Amino acid sequence: VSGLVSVLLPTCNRPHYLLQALESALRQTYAGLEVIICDNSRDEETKRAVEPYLARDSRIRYVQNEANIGYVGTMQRCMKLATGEYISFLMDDDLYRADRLSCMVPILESRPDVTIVTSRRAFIDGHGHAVGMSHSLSDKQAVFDGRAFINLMLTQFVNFVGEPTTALFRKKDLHDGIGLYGGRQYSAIIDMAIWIPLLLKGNCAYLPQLLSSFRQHERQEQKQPEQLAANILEWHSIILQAHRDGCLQQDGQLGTSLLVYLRTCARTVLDLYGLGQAALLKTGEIESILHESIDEAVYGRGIGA
Amino acid sequence: VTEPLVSVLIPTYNRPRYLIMGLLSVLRQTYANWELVICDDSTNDETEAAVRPYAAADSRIRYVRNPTRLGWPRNGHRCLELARGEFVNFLMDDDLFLDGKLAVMVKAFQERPDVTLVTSARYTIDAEGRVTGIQERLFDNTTVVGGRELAEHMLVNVTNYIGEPTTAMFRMRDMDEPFGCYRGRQYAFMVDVAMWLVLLAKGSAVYIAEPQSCFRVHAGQGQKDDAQQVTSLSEWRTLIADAHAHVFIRETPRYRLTLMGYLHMATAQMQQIIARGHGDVLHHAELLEALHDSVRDMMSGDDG
Repeated sequence: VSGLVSVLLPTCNRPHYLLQALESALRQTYAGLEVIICDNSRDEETKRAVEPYLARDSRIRYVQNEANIGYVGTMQRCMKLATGEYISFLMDDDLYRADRLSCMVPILESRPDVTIVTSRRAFIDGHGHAVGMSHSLSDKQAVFDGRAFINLMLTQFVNFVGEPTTALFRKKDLHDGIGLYGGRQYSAIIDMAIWIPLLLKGNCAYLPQLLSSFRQHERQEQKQPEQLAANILEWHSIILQAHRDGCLQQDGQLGTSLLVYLRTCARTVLDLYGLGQAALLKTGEIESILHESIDEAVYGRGIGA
Repeated sequence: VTEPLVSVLIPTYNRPRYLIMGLLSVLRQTYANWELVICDDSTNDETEAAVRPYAAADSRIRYVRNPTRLGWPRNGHRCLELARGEFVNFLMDDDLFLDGKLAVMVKAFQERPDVTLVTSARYTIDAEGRVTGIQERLFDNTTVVGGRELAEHMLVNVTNYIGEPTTAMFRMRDMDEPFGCYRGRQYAFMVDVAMWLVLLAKGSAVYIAEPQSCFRVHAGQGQKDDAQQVTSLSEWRTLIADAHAHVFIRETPRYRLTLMGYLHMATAQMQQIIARGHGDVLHHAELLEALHDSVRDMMSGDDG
């Protein structure tokens, strides 16, 4: 008997997309699943839209937040309610392919060394039309060493695992909670903060099929200024924490990672001035972190040594 | 009409074979009224032995052997002190002029009194003198461009589009700083950009689209080359800051954009140095200071 998968669907104010996401979860060919919808909306529209599904499919659980607990809080609440052995997030505007869980679960069942199963993913627009796909990491199914995978992501500054929707993992492997890593709660780069602790514990299995679709909204391209500023703080923190946890240990890896980081930050600083949001940079914290990372990049050991 | 005198200046050090090729490229000029000043800083007599016969045969060649080693960039200062021409064109001792260079460039000055610098496209050549390409072109056609506009284009892109000392000609009277100095500060590697900024603050520039010289690129990215690259990186930062304090990239958003470009280039080059296994050369106080200063300046001040 295969283990129960908890499909976690945090949602906020977009019932139209949510129902598409929900239906893609319910269409899974894999039998053992529960769907947990945690609703952070300001109004009752989402609740009304979901009610008919609740009445006819007992696999769905719906909870409504009493107060706005934000994106991260909603993900955490989903996680607390999950009873399955395996966790699969589904962001409320993304879609699963019907055979996603059937393809992924057997890998976790047969490979105890694997802590993340991910796949290539399609990009879709607001109407669900395909607009592209993620870079291929391998033509056929492959298993990558967890730490090597972290090092690759942190030196190339690319989230090769993907968005939260993309990957499947065991609940027991993430006992610290969602996006909590090294004692810090991440939000702007919450996906990285989920993947890194998992990859420290095991390996990453990759499937070349397009098992999920990630929606790219036009407005999503323009990131929130607050999130841009938070990115600067969180990336620095996660690079150094991963280094303390034994990643980026080869000669020059930490330096390379921090130099790519600095380059990205310089662009972000310019963007924030361009957006008239320089006030977000004036807390002093960002500037001191950039100065620290210059020294860390050149002297290569970071604070942990 | 008399041709104005052009001083061709070669500071040289221990490479007689390339130097003679450079000297021959001066003798081949279609323009006649030049003087060639060779300042020899070599540690042995080979260069002197190679040059003497040419100096004896052509009175336009002045050979000066430094009594004691001056080193770089002081040998460049010496050249400029010895020059008597109205116009000056350096020739680095491993580079070459093409035959029409002096004629074309003097003519460009004579057509435009507001011009303080004439440069051109340039070929790159390898150790054997084979042409390996044309350096990135500034314009497709011969163009007159405002000095400030060209200087800011170089600074914002952190790229020396004008070229090496060999590439450009200027008027002696416009160079009111010593060789390789800008705003009173001596540069070791960015001597060319330092000079170009001095000249571009005073007038316009002409870019000649047809190549007029060859710039030799030596193979190898050894530890020593990477150490020089690190010094050049820290010198770029000083040039940017001094240019901003002077007359270029005055507006804060433009200065900030330049610093972003600088940090982009610096981090990319540093990454390549790490990848070549030479990360130790990054332990360089001036480079660290340059990066810290750039971050500080980038994040200070308000736009508008």
